[in-house]
Amino acid sequence: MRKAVLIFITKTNKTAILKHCLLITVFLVSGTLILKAQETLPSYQSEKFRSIDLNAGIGITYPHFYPIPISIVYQQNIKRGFSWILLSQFYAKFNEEEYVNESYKFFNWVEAAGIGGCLGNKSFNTGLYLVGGGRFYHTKTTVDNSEMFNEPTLVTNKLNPELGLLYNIKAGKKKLYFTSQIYISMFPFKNFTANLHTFSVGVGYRI
Amino acid sequence: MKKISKTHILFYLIGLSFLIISCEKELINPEQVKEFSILSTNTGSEYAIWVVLPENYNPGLTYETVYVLDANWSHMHYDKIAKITEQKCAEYNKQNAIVVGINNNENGRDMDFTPTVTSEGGGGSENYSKFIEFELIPKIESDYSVDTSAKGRVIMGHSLGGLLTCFFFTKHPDVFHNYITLSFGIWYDNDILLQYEKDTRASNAAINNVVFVGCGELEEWCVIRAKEWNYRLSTYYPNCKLDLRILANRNHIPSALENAESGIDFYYKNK
Repeated sequence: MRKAVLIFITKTNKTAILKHCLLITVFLVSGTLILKAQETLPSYQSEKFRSIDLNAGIGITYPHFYPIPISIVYQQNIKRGFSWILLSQFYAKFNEEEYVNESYKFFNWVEAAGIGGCLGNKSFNTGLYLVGGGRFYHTKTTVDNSEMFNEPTLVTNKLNPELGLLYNIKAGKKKLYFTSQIYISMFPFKNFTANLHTFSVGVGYRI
Repeated sequence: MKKISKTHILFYLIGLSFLIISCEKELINPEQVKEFSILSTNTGSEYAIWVVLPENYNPGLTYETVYVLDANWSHMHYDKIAKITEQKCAEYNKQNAIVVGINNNENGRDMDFTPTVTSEGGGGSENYSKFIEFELIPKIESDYSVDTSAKGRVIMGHSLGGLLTCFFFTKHPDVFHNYITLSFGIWYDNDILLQYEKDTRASNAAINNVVFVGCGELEEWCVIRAKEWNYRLSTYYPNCKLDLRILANRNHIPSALENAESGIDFYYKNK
């Protein structure tokens, strides 16, 4: 089955992943050029630090990879080295799954708030946050062999609690900076390996 | 310095919690497990087999057998299934069964569990079913004191292993009376098993097997087919005892063991 799944990944996602990797590269190069013209600002540790990050990357739910979740993180420091965040994450997929003979639509939206600590210096910062909130997902699956099925379409709409860990890195001395994050979805814990975890990179802006 | 220490403690606690979760105690007394290999003349492959005997196994008694496919894989491991069987027997005050775990490696299962040849290969189900029926079962029944009727046999499979349980149900329904089918890969070769079911429906309509089908809610490709399988069995096989369980917030692998437990529970309630 694992081999079959890998073939499935290769067949359906290889081109899409390459396309999205190229987009991320362009995104980062553009960010680098913008960063060079920025002025120096207060450190990430400052009590007054507020920021908004925009990230894009890959979703990982064993044994699949899903391009390309988008996340927006608002961060506000409460006191030095301690902050709260708001996380919004979106992911949509519209595929023709040839290997299992069906069309599949998937939309996923996470909205969560969290608190955590960060450490670093003026040009580099790393933080870990515990976040909680909700996850809404919608799927629509239609089998190709509809004549063989009594109900050839399955629609799911569901709102679940969300609990996760967000680890992020910020780098840069300017108003715009690089950011990268790993989001580990912990709920439900028994489904941990197959939860939608994400790894993404992007740019942040000090407000 | 104080803030750095707090963050370090947080990282440490998270790491420690993962470490604690990953530690597992031994489930079954190793003395209960008998291991041997069998070279199949039907498939040409060699299979490692684990036989988990009930605690205080008594050759004077007759035991039911639970055949577990992919018993080398963590989510279907023979000792976990044996532990569940032991607990369920105790719960329902029944005699424990003998669990027979079959080692199916990655390449072998792609061949052994699939009924037809596709561009990816496969097509060994018929030979594999002969291996189970004419080589493995006779070996178990000659070495141990077990119920030799189909009624005393359960087959449990996950994913492509689940596909094989459906293959037995449609093509060889007299080998096993009881089926625990988990997250089955019935999509294989354009849903060929649904066609097999239709083709054999008339001759199998009177069977009264016990069939449990389970999958995870998050594997929609499986849910839609599990509902179809359940619809067909409930419509065309009125004597079968059926249950369909779609486990909320679970995907393919994480649903396996929980549904296996429900399947064993269903078997003991309905056998």
